[in-house]
Formats: sequence, C-alpha cells, structure tokens
Amino acid sequence: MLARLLALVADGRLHTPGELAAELGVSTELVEAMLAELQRHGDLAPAPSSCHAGCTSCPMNGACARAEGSAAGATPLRPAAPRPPRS
Amino acid sequence: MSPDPSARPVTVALAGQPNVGKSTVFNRLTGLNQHVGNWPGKTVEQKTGELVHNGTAIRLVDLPGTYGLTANSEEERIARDYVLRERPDVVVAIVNAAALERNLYLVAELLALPSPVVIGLNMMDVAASHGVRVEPEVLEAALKLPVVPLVAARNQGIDGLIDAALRVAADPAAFAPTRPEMRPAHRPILAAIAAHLEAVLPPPYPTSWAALKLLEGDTEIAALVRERAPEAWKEVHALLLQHEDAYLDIAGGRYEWIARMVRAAVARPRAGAVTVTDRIDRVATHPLWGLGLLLAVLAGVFWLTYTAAAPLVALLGRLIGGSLAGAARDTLSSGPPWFARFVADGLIGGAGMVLSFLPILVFFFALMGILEDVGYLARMAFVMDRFMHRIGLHGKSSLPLFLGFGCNIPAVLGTRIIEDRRARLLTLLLAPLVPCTARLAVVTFLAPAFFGELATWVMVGLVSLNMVVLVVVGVTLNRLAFRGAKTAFIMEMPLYHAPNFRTIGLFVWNNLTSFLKKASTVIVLVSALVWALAQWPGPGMQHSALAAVGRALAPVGAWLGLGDWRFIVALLTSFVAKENTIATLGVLFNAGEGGASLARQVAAALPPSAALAFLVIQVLFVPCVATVAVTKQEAGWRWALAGVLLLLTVSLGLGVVAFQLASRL
Repeated sequence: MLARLLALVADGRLHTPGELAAELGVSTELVEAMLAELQRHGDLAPAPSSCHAGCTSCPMNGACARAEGSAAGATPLRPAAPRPPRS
Repeated sequence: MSPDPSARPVTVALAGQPNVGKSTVFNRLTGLNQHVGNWPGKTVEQKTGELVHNGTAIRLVDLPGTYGLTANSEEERIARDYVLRERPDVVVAIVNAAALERNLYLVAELLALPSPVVIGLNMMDVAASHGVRVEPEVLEAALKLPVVPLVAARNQGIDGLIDAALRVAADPAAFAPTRPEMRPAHRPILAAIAAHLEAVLPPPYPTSWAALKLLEGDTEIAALVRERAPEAWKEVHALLLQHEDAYLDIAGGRYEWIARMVRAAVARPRAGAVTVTDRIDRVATHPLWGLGLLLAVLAGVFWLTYTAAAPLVALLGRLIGGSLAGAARDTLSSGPPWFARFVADGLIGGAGMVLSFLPILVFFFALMGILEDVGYLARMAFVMDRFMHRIGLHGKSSLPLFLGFGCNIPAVLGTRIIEDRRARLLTLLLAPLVPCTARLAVVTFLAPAFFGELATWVMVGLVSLNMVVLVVVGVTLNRLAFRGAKTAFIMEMPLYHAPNFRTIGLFVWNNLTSFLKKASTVIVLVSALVWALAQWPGPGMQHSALAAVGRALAPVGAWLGLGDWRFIVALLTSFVAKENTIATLGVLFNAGEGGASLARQVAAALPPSAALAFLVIQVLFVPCVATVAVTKQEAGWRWALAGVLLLLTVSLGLGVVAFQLASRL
C-alpha cells in the first residue's frame, strides 16, 4: 500500500490526502498516517518555505502561509533527496 | 487485598505514541508510588511505579512515547530495547481512539516483539465528539487481542485495562493476535536473512525480528550484526542491497493491516462541514467544471472590482487631478512658479493619480481575501495544477504561478518548492506572465478610459490572453529545452467555512498600507524624475529629454500605433514599478494639457486599435525591476536577462499583432 501511495504521488501532480485516499480506497486519516510515516522514513520532506518576509503585500500570502502549515497545520510534502545506499 | 509477598510482581510496560494519554493512565494507576529518573545511560526520563490490583503486585514501566520501534530516535531505541531485554509480562499499548490510523502502527510493531500486548483504547469521548464511532469488541475480534475502551482523563476503564493485562500475563501462550504480513515476494528474503543471523545474533534479539528490522533499514541492528558477525554481514548486506524496496513492503503491510482493522471497527459519520466541503469540491476540483468555475470566479472578481470601483476611481481622479492639484497651485502661487508646477503636475499629477487606484485595490484585495478565507484559493491552485499538468507543464509550477496574481516577486521566490532545476527555471521565466495586482490595477484604470462599456470584456480578454500566452510559451519552452523529472507535491485542502470579516479587513489593510508605502516612496521619486526630465532642457515638454527618448523609440511605437511618445515613456517607467504607467501619464498629460481628467485625455490621444495594443503590451511587458532583481538572486543574471528579453519580445510582438488586427476591424 505504501509503494502504491508513493507511485501515485510521484506523477508530478499536486495531490491532496483526500484524493489519494479515494484512489487507494482507504480513509483520508490512513493516507495522512502513511504520509507521516514516509516523512519519518525520509521518502518525503516538507517543502521549503516559499513565502518571503517582504511579501506582505501579496494578496496570496494567506494561501502561501496556509500551504506552509502555519494556518491549517498542514505541511506540503515533496520527495526527499535520494538517500545514499546502505553502508 | 494484600499481595502474596513471595510472588514476583507482574511487570507491565505502558507504550504509546506521544499525546495519547499514556502519562494520565500511568499517574492514575500509580498515584504517588512512582519513581522518576533517567533510562540507564540516557537523558530520556524513565518513570516506574508500583500498584496492587486485586491482590496482584504490579510493576508499571512507562516507556517513552514513540511513533514506531525502528531505531530512528533515542526514545524508539529505549522502548524496544526495554521490551526485548526485560521481556515485560505484558505491554499495554495506549492508543487514541480518534486517530487509530496513526496509533495502530506502533501496535503493529509491538506485535513483532516477544511480549503479549493489550490495547487501551483511550479518548473514546474525543472520538465520539469528532463523530468517530469505534467498536472496541469488533476491534478486539479483528485483532484477536484484548481491547479495553478508556477515558483516562475521567478514570473510566482503567481497572478493566489492568484486569485484561493481568489475564494476558497469566496465560501468554494463549496470545495469538492477527499480525501484519509481508507480501509473499519478500518472505523468502526475510527467511534467508534470518537464517544468516541464526547462530550469530546475540540475545535478546529474536532472529526473525532482527531480519525484519534489517530489511527496514534499521541502522542499530545493522551495526550490531556488522560488529558481531562480519562474515554473516557480508551475505546479509548483499541481500539488503538487492531489496532496498523491502521497507515499503513491510511498512505497507502494516498499513494494509491497519486499514483492515479500521474498516472493521471504525465508522466515521460525516460531519456537516465535511459533507458541504465534499459537495462543493465535486464541482470546484473537477478537472472540467473546476476550470470553468475558476474562470468564472476570476471573471467575477474583475467584473465586481471594475463595477464597484470604477465610479470611485473616476471621482478620486477628479478630486486629485482637479481639486487637489488646483488647491496646490493656488496655495503655492506665491512661491517659485516651477515649484507649484512640480507639486501640482509632478507629484499630485503623478503619484497622486496612482492613489486613485485605492478603490480598485480595496475591492480586489477584499474579494481575494474572501476567496482565501472561505477556502477556495487552495482549490484554484489545485485546478490550475491539473490543467497545467494536462498541457505538459510541470504540475508544481502552478502554486508559484498562482502567487503571481498578487505579485510576481513571491511567485519567483515560490519556485523554490520545485527541486528540478529545469522545471524551476521554466517557472521563473513564466512567472512574470501572470498579471500582478499592479498591472491589473493599471489596466482597470485605463480600460474604462479607452473602451467605456466594453471595459470588463476587454479586461477579461487581456487576462485570458495572459493565460494563453503563458500556456503557449510554457508548452513551447517545455518541449524545446526544459523537460524535467516528475516530482510529487501534496497539500492539504482546508474545509470551506464562512469568511471572517475581521481577518479579511486586516488582509485588505495590510495590502493597502504596503501599496501606500510604495506610492509614497518609489512612485513619488519616479514621478518627480519624470516631471524633471519632461521639463529639461526645454523650452516646453516637446523639447525635453523625455520627449527625445520617446521620439527615438518612435519607430517601435509606429508598429504599435503609438504615435504619441508619452505612451512609450509611460511603458518605460513601468519597469521601475508597474503603477508608474499611470503616474507618468498623469505627469505628462497634466503638464501638457491640464484641466481635463487624465482618463479623457489618454482616451483622446489614441485610436482604439492603438489603445488595445498599449493594454496588451502593458499586461505582458517586462517585469518590474524588483522582480528582475529577485530572479537574478534566484537564478543569476543570465536567466534574469533571458526573462526580460522573452517578455520584451512577446509583449511587443503581440502588441503589433493586436494593433494590426484591430486596425483592420
């Protein structure tokens, strides 16, 4: 199931946990748990901050902050850098 | 009842993820009979306690809160080493009934260890308040181990939990739970690794568990085997290298097990807010209807902004350009004439005219604030992403590009979320093609002046043109030079909710103060400079340095129908800040004509075909200097310059096309 989840999110598109849950036929909560596990394991990483301190005039800065997790407690994830092979 | 002094106390280990109420259970059971210290050789706190339950002495050990039992953290190492080395009679796993999907993962890992497990299903009240109905008896039947519902905060179910733990501890041989399973493909590998470890692994590690952990990439077990049995490690290592994907299989097996358990025992009646969100999202995030809705919402925002703001903009324009400038001339008439002209025509006619944008910005920011606050903005980004992906662009480009509607600077900075360099460069080049608020405000000011009743349609057409150009340029560059790797991006969708008008008010206020700051600094300076260059060396504006520059560019203006050099100069000054187009026109037209409103003067100066060409160039023209500077900071001079040249070519090219086509209509 985890491999299927990784394959689903690796298509280069923007995904939401709800949409991934529908694809996998499981609950959104389970997808969120799996995403958290993939993040702990290092397969996914929080996306870097995109909001700039000087961007207060941007009408989208609310959306930007939300995407960064400060507003909704959500952390956008992206694939982590490849890990070195096991030593 | 007093315990039998000769009997060994039953050791119960309390396990659980952080914040599941484990400490509450521990404190309820042990009261004051607890000892706090550190785990041997560690800085992590250790809590143990004693209690007597129905005549049985119990030693309770509070394990550190952990999400799993792989050696990812000190807490995870301590928890699993304790269970492996001390072999407690029973492990009580406290789980949050409201978040079983997350909490059962630790239970899945505990079931791979030698001690039997009992589950304390805590926070049943929280689950019920969230609309989550958990059936403990069904979960117990599915897991084939005791599951005891608890509300530890209210001391409910704790006696039953200890009863169940003691029953299991009394007959460990009867403990036969449903455990997660690996996919068949990796089972022979697990067996092969376990066989290599059989004779070499020191106690207390069970070989099958150690083999599982090695396949999961557990660094501590790997170091142990490497150190104790270098020969066996060579064989094991070779197998591990061939099966680096085994982790996904093992952890995936655990989640399949969790999904089965949750499906059996948990019902989530949909709360009202979720149902409303789902219902709206069926349209709002639909690949086709969602795109239609997005275009309709954007068109609605522009229409509402224009309809509501246009009369106020005209009124402010008359007040600033007429009454205020006149008052300034009268007040300063006793001073040097050039100073009165400078203030009235340069500062008020230029920077002051930009202040007439205020109603546009108030309505635009208020509408965008409402869209953001109700939760629609995230859906807009989602739908745009789908659309862009379909036309071959990088999906993750959509979020930064979307930010460009506010200001191109965060759009450029937002490309940091794209780790593929080629995709990032492509997005950097495309970001200035999204019309920012400043450009939209200029167009909202000029479109009614040029096209009257048709202004809304002209504006929607210009924004649509922006989008079409963005797509065409993006697809072309993507196919020619920027095809990159595909990467994922996952974001949460907020629930829809009623807007908070205080939040929206603050949002509008913050944006307006930022605009006023820019108007009072950069735009005032440029207005002053434009006014000075429009007077110098003279005599009159037609013999000024600015007129010379404008006339030097006349051949380019001729292709666009811009016979009046003042429009060329206005475009050039927009490089400093987009609002300068209006500030410059304000200075040049007031200085030249005076009296009549700026809107009427500019409309009279250009035929409709040239006016359309001017607006086309305005929405596609080179980004402002701040955006170029940020692009240089993010990608270097080469790409910043490439972006400027790209937009210069596209804007002039399409301006010529617009003029030529409109002239023939």
